[in-house]
Amino acid sequence: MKKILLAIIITTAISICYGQVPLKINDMNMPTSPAFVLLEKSPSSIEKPSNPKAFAVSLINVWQNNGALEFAPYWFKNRPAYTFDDNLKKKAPIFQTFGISAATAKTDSIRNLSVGFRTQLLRLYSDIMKNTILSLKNKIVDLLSVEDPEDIDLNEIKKAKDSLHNLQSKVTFNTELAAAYMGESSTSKDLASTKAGVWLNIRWTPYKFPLDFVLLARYSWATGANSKSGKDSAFFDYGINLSYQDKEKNFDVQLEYVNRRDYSAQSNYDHFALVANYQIIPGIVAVASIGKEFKAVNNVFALLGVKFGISKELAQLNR
Amino acid sequence: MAIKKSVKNVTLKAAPDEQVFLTITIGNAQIGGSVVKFKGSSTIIGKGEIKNLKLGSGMDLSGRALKVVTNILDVNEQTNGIVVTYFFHACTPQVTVFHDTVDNDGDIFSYQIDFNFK
Repeated sequence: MKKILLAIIITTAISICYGQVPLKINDMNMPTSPAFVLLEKSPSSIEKPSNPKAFAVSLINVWQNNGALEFAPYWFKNRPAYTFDDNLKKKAPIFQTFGISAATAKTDSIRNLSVGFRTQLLRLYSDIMKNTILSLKNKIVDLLSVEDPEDIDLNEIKKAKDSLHNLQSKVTFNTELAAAYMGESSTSKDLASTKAGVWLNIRWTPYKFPLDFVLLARYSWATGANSKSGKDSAFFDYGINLSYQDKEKNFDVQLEYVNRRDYSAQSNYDHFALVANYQIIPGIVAVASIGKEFKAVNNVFALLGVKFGISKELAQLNR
Repeated sequence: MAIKKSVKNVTLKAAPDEQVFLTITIGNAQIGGSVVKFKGSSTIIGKGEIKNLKLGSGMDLSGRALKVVTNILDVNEQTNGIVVTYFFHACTPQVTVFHDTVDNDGDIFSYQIDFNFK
């Protein structure tokens, strides 16, 4: 009871306020389809041709109508000797992960065309992670090894496949590169360059270690009507993400630090946030957080309080 | 999650004096599992990933049929193509390759193949 009273007093004494944070660590991911990012459009449907013939048809469709297209040239051809294990061991899967995206958008008189690519330059899994993935793969092999395909346990397969994708996404050391180019045409003959961008992302996620290190370099430039400041824009972002949970002690902490260097504006911004939760008794969680707004002003504020839970949810960093 | 099926028949000629081994390779970075047994027998002689599975001498195999079921799960987000290679040591043809596509990510393709030894 004393714990609860103390918590109430602290909560009443300190006001809580959190500002808008433009850049989050989760924003520091590569665009999945760089062409769509540059076009600033999210296509309603994306054609994904899997062979050269389908690709030709899709290309005509995309050009004639406003549309979007994504394809991986390496996989246009079957790779009979390239196994799952080979893929897991591949440290530089540049061709295997090379994906091209393209999209068009037509306004009254102008057609915009954007083309981009994305690839993984370096992909390293720790030995523990590799073994975990291979164990799960072996489980899937066992589930698939049945005489009658109707006997395959589809629910178990789906669960295992989802877990596999989740594990595969946790690359220990990952380096990705993406670029896109956009042009506009009013005559369908000439294509004038309007925007271009390059992204480089390096992420280190140690296995079962609470820290996650991210580095993202972005350079983009615009010409003609799209050029707002007359300058190119170049950003260099890096960040650290920490997430630790101790279920036995009912305690968890999340920390996020992101720093951005804006080369075009010759300025630096950073963002820091920390949230810690301690469950006093079920339904009542003590929350402590500290943050710094992602603005040039160095306004720091901190809070310490108690959240009276009406649900079982803990406070989270707003990602 | 759908299952697409294909039934195939392949004729092989084994060298009579040599031992025949079977290796099954699932390509396109997909995952697959197989079950291998002789036609008319309930004994499974190979299950899971098949590597250098000893089938017997060419002479013993003559006139028999090997039933192989290979189920492949599409786990490669980059392609829906599936491809499987059956390599029979000391047989002609040595290599038999089948390929196809599944309609959606995460679907399964099932090959049911009879390898008939002449």
